[in-house]
Amino acid sequence: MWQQYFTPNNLSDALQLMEQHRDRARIIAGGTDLVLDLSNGRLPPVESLVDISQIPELKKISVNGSKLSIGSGVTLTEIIQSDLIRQKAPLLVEAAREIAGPQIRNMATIGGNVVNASPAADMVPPLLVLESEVMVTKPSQMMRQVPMARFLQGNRKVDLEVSEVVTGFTFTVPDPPTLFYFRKVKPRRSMAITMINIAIFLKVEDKRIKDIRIAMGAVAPTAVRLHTMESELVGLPVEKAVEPARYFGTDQDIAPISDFRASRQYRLRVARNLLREAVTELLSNFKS
Amino acid sequence: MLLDFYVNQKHVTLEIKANEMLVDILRDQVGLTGTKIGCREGECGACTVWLDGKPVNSCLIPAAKVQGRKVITIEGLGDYENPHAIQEQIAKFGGSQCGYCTPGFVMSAAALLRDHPDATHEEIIEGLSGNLCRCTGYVRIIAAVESLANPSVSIPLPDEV
Repeated sequence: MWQQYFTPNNLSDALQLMEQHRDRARIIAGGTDLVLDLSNGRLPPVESLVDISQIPELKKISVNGSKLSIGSGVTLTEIIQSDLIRQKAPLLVEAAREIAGPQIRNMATIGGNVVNASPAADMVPPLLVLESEVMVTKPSQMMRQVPMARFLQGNRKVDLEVSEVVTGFTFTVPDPPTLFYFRKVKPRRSMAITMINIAIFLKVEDKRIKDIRIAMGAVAPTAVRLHTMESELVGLPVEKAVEPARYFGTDQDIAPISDFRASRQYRLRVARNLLREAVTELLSNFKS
Repeated sequence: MLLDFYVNQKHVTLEIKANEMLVDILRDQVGLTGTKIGCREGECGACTVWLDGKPVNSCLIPAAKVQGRKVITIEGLGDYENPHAIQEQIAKFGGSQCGYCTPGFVMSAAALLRDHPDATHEEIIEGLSGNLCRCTGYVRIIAAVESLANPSVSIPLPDEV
């Protein structure tokens, strides 16, 4: 457990505290994962926690030109209630809704969901298909931006140095004809951790798939883009895209393990079926 | 460390350890034992209180996190003499058996109806999804809450069954 707890109310104070305490400190936001991990010893003990959940700079949701930015301290409830996010990137709202229950969503943040680096994190596949960049800051340095796919380095591992803070996420607002899909396979409706989740970004033009981005979670050490399947599907006429045989490529993009939530075989089968069902549903509007 | 915050609209100053949880200081230091400890891992909702008006699991919140903030516990919503409407309905509908989960349910339900006075059946189920009850099977809790959102709800009351 920790002996000191700081509640800075601006980012520069938080950064200074991290610079001062370095690996003896950790950032805490909502704390819904971190508190448990520190209490049960799954994370090594730290001397200090630096709480960034009340820093106004990290709680902004804003559009700047073609970019939508979401501060790392925005809670899942705030995402669900944001008209801006619902209009511009509704799959983030759908993903946030699927996480835990109201009490957790009132505390848990989008930044925490990503930095916690669980392969099953539900905000991650949507951010991957939006090709979001992660904004990272450390004391006395310029902010750096890392593409989401590179930020995720492995199970419980992200590209974040001691004393660095994730300040938010930014992505290009998709044009209106873009279709989105999010679905989470889970053993019950609430308070359940993902067995597999999927996010899709799809553009159709003249009854052909013009652009498709697919990401899945809980099927590899990090959530992954399904590049093989994306290139298999892009350019196809709507009728051909829904043929079941096309979806065997799913196996090449993912590497699920067996754990207490689901077996490898189950995940492989569900991943393939889930993707086919999702694409079929999205394309059903375009069939002649 | 010194913690300054508001409990049920009263200003409270306490000497706490940095790693104590909100539920423990509410129960042991402030003396408000209506907030219950169930799982201590954010699954059961028995420890639900409001933080700045929003229901949260007080077992997952370091007490130091609430510095300067406003906490409302079940004692702030109602008591035996002056029960909250939801407490009355849960009693009337037989939505409380052993009673351990009830304060948490009341906190969740009261926030839900405050934000959505005409919540649908589905919205009530979703709004209460962070609370577990092992006695009632939920039907009577949900009906009690629904009776406030939709007065025509029909379920036999305990003394009619």
